[in-house]
Amino acid sequence: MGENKHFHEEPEMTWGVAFFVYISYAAVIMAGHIRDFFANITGFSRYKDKTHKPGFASLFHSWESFYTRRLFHRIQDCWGRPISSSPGALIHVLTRNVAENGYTLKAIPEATECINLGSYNYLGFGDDWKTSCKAEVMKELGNFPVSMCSSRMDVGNLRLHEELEELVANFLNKEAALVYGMGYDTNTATIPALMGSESLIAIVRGQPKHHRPWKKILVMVEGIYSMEGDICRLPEIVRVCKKYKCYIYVDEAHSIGALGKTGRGVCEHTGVDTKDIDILMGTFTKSFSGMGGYIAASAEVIRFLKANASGVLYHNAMAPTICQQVITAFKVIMGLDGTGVGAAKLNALRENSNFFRSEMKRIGLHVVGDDDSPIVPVMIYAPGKICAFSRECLARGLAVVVVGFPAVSILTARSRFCVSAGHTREQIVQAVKIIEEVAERINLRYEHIFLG
Amino acid sequence: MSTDTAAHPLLPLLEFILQVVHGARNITWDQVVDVATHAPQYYSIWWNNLFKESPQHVLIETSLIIFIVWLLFVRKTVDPKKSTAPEKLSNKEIDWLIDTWAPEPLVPPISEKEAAVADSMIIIDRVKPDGTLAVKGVKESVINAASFDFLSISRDPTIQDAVTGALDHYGVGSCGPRGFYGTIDQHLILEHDVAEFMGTQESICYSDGASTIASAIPAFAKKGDLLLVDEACAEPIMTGANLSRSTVRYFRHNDMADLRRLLQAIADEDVKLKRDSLQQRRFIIVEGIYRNVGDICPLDKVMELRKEFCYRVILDESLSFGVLGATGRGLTEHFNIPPMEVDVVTFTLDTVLSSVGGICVGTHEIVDHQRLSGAGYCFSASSAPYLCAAAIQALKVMRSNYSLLQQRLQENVHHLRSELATVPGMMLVSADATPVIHLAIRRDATTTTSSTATSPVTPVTPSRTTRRTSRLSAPANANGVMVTTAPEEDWRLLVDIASECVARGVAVVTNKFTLLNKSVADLPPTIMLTVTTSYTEQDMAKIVKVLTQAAKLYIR
Repeated sequence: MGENKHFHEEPEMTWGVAFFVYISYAAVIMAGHIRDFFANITGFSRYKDKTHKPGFASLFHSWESFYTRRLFHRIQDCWGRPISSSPGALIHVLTRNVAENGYTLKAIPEATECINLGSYNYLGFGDDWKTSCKAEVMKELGNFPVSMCSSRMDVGNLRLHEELEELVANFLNKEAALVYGMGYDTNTATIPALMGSESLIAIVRGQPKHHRPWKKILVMVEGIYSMEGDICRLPEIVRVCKKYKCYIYVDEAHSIGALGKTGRGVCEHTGVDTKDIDILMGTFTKSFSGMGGYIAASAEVIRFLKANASGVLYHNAMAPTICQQVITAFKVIMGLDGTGVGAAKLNALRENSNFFRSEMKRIGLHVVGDDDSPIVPVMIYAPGKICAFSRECLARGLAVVVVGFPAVSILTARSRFCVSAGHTREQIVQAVKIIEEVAERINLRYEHIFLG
Repeated sequence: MSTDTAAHPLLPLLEFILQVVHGARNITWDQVVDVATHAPQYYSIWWNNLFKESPQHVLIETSLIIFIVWLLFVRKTVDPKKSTAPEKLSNKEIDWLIDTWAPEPLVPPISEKEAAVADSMIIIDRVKPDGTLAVKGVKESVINAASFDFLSISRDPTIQDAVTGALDHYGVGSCGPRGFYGTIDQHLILEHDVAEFMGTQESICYSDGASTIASAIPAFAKKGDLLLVDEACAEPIMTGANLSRSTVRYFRHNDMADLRRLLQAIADEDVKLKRDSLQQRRFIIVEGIYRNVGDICPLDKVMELRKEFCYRVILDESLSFGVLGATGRGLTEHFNIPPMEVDVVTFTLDTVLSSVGGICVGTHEIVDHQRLSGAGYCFSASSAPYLCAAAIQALKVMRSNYSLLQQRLQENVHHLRSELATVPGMMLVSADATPVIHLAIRRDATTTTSSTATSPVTPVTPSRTTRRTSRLSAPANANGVMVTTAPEEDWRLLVDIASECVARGVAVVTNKFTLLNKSVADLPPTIMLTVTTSYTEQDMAKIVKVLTQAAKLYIR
């Protein structure tokens, strides 16, 4: 079967590198404790607990916020960088200075233009929105207010929601679909509605206390794992779930519109029939330049969710303009707009991703994840290099995302690149050049070195 | 060592050791042999001395040695884990277990109530320039009587301009969470403007309204902490309380005496169990205007209790922001409480500011903490920039016209409430004049709805333990209509009444939270309608007329 051609061996960290990473963390943590100690005895600290009120319990225990104070704040300029442009292939990153309180950052109206390898702009709608989507979105602008200020079940349900649901169900070849206003909410509202207290999410030997069998079992996987860039081995999982009679839930937040020849996600990419998946979930933030999420399943499940999911019953309905944006994006991807723009975007994404990935490997960096995945994580490991990489790239006009503990395990800090269909070949080549320069400077070519 | 002057038997050994230690090269092989052959003898002499001097010392050490040996070599074969482990199953047994196990269906069969709710969803074709709805299946325009856009700011033309400008510049989506280039200058401007308006140090903007309070609560309250929540709270607060994994206790709705009783009981327990109250974070959680009831929280009394018992207060002002207070700053302004004295204040942007998202205001510490600990902030894509632009403009519109808007809203609220009291078979649930109005099936002819009363009047008995049982022959109400069905069937009447209203041109809704029995409180199912500044006299007359017709049709 063709599925195995996508999967590969993960690069391994040498023990020399691991040794230096541990030492780096130990040094930073020790420095933090020393600073805390002096703060305690001298009373001078930017972190004096201003929330302290006599008689009240302390709101933040000092040990809980140690990580924030002594590790995160030292390098917080690597995250939360504000931009003043649309999130396309080129962005204007605003400069930030330290605020009066000494530990938060404040933006000033001064921007640097950077190549953007951080935003989830997979199909490049952030770049050509004016030509691909604007006309249709503006047409509907006069028909509805900015927000219906009501839930879908009250007076927030529009024909746009119904149209979008039909499109999604069609696109994924499922019976029905349900859309929510927020992607995060899609999971948090749906899963509790489906699974009660005697249900199991993932598998083991019966309920631990009394060994009665579970009432139902739901296996949850993601299409693309956003920190690893790995694609889910869906055919094997479906085989196992069928054997053990488990239900399967696939979260396609990153893979819908990004994987598969026609953008239909991980099922198309791995050759699995969507009929074999009980619940398909996805978001509209990444490939569609929208907001919100969907669930696609059988008509029975959707009807049940309509009456039980808090996202539909009580939470604000998806905004009309966003609805229309996603509808338009779908039409472009499916070719229903009569142009070849959608197919071109999907092709460009795949080519850019694979080209970028091969270039990263050529430089000698530790690259993880599978081919065809638009997420390309590159290992950094050492805490000191996290901020060095981020800052050096920014100084050279490249906006990157770095990820450390607790989003990933403590030894596996990495930089996660998100390639887009909107990147031109020149931009990617330029980005690779910058990364190569920085990697040389801070010693990131782990394929060739032994010690960190 | 004994101090007798006779040569100690161990002396040669000691001398030998000293010689070795000094690296003496004059150690002879004979000396070594001599020490080695006499070693057992030396050892037995030493041991005997030790035993003579302190036998208990020897006894203890011997027992310890035996115990260690037992631990290392004997206990190993009696592994406690293995003794309670399940027996290994053979492959055949495993296969049989799998074959005979049948999982529950993924979703249970839908109940009658759930089906009624799912089918009650209306489809809006468009919103006309005058604010009425074109609803599928209904010929005439439908008055929107359930939107939370109380000040009708969404219809202000400057909002549309702000939106168009933002769309042109930013497109639609922000394509990332706030941490990864999803922070756009519009977010920063909105946060700044709101903080400045509310008089707090900072504010944080979430991309979804309900997620705001549902993320703020677990950001501050963790497992082992204590939450005292009003029992009539809305769904996002209950979700937040559950997610926090803290101990949650509910107090009777708006009943300050009950809250005081509960606080006192906990304080007494502290003393009895010698519990240190400074080790546990404790919060009281209330809403400005309760979504499920429509009444106002007595925040001044809550703040008194806060001071007395040292509990922090989390206040959700989603429905009171832009409604209460001389300048629309909400419940804190209404009661003249300085803005940052309430520890955590949240409100949504999808009510008066007619956009999408939510805000939490407070001190630097309160807000900054949520940037790393607010789940809905960290793990979700940020708000679309055009929605922020709309909210920024809406705030400007609200600030410049507030006194006029508030006056019109209050007039409409009072007028509509007095008219709604005449609807047969139904009654107003709350005594407070707020733009959120709940109507329940009238079951007690003696209940009054005086608008000067400060405490809400609900149609169920105050005591939690005794529930008023239904009687088929309820007393006739003031308008001469008798309710003959059981209270358990009220939900059906309300669903029918609501859809009849829509068919006749007024969109009211049922409160799904109480209809589906999700509330902790003993609240009756209700029809909810809202009041906005855009209602004309004719609109309000039509609302009352249609409700009356629908009520007469179904409540017999």
